[in-house]
Amino acid sequence: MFIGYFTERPYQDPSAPYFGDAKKEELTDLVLSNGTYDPEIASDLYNRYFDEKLYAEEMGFDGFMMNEHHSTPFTMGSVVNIEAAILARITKRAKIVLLGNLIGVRSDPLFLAEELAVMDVISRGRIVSGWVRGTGRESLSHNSPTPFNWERFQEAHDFIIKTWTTPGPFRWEGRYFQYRYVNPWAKPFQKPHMPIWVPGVLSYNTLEWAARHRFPYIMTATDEDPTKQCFDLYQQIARDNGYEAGPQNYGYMIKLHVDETEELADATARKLLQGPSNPFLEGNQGGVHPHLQNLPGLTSKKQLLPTASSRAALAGRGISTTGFQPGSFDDQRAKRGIICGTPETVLKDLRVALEKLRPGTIMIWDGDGAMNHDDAMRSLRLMGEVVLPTLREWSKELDLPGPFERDPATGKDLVAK
Amino acid sequence: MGFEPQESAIEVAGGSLRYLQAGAGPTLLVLHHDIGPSGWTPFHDALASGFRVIAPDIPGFGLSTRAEWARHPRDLAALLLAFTRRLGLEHYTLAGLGFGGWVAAEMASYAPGPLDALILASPAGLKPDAEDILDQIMMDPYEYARAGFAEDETADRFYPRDAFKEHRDRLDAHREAIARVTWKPYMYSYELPEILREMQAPATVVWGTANRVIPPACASRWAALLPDCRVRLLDGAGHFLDLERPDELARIVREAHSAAREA
Repeated sequence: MFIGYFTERPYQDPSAPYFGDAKKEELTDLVLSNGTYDPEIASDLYNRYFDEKLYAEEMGFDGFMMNEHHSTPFTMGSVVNIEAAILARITKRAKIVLLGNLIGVRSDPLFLAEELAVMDVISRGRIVSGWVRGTGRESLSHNSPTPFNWERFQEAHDFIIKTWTTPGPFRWEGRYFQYRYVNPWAKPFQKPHMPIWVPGVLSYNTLEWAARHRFPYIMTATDEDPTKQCFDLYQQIARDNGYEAGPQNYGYMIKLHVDETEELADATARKLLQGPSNPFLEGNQGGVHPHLQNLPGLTSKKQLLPTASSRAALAGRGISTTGFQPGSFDDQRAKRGIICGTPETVLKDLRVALEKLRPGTIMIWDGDGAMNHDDAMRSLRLMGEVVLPTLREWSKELDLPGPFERDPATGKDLVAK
Repeated sequence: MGFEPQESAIEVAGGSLRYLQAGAGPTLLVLHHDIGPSGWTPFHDALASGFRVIAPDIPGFGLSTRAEWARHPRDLAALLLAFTRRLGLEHYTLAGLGFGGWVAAEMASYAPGPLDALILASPAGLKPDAEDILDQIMMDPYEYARAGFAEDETADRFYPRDAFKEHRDRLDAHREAIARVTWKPYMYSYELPEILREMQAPATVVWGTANRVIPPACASRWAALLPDCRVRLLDGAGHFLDLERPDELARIVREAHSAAREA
């Protein structure tokens, strides 16, 4: 099993109007001004998040999942490749999993191919490259035409793979990208190139594309039942394409906080829903304008995954399935969208999720929202001491190999059992 | 309304181009706004008494097929010029509304011979000297449609606040059609102004002084570039002149056509 650590790296400014008890209208994405951005706060936070990753590596995590969003305080990862490049140098063993870069938004995919190759070389082969289409805010922030996002995504992928695997120089005359001279003096450390994983939430096209390319598909904080349905869909597409998918192809991200006592765990995990966390996540006060979320042609309205009708989506419309206020902390706890407690408590819930979904990759999402450094560090320590060792035993017992143990493309074991 | 338009479709460059037609007399081609065709309106009807009015759905809008390859209003202009050839139109007057005005200006610039007259009602296509064109990509499509009217009361007549559901799919589709051809720069061209200097058709540019979509000051830019241009300002009118002031705009079209013929 591959166990990764994730946080959005929120911009936490206690004096900002979008922190704490902000009202919905104060927390609408793509409306907040960066006028109050304080580089002192940001500097402390970037460095804090690096410190936490160093400790996560020490505590036994296999890697860090990093994400990229733009023009929003819920994540400071607008230039995720700079953070990843620093991690490439300051960490020793952990994989740096980029989920992911916006290949359909970037205007020059050769720059991206070069950046990733350089990071892979510096880290001596620890980069996992991931592709995303981005939400509306990413296309708006870099003014990339949304109707062509999906076509650009696919062409950029084909182009980047070629730059990594084909000796240059060569010429590229595509529909969206043209290059006279492709000969980057940086090629991936890993051969034939670094692994590619794809995160997803809603788009059928992306899941279908990932399954066809045999890339592991990571479902990010989606409800268990529709997640299982999406994995089944992936398996069906895999079989249609002549291979058998397994745990090595499936990843699941879950909000999880471990603490010293049940009371402290409960109080701290509640901070996930406080402050400038991801406005799209259920339970947060924040919202987004539908016309900015649904930019023209960005996501096909007819090609949505089962997650689109999940409980999270129902909660968005005020429909409860747990008996609790939709999207509330208690609602999310009841359906294991948030797992928190002492190590013994969280392991019970994790076991249920593992047996139900059978993922080979688990991304643990913690240290977010209004959590502070101490909150994050307590949880990391307990994960390292108790949770991770147990997960590794269960992974053997339940046969849940990660993508570095069993090849997602061939199903062959990569390391001796 | 007096005229019952005939609905037809012909094939252009592998796609189907749908158009409405009614009336008799000199041919007048009318190109619709970015929010899509509004059907046969009182504006069309007022003109059909003196013209053979042809109102095509611009490819990608209404019932015309989307040209998947099109990336610029000039591409749509090329398709519409092919459409005029298919119909055998040699002499015609061209009227464009808003975004349709931009397409009309591109058509007129690239047409093999001079048009009878060119009427541009609050056309897109030129970058305003000051202020910006209202950006529908950053707006709720229904609010954008309402912004086309000078007054909320007028907007209520066409796009009542409680009726967005019945318009939503159509407005979403047209917003996407716009995003495909003018995502950036948004609603203007750096090339068009240069080629406008060679326009042979007599042009009339009409603007409502209360236009909330494209600044009325743009009118003087058009006038400075077009060799033969008169400007008509409609006091207190918004962007959708054809819907707000159908009779007044129709009269301006008739006058522009008569003046051109006399000249």
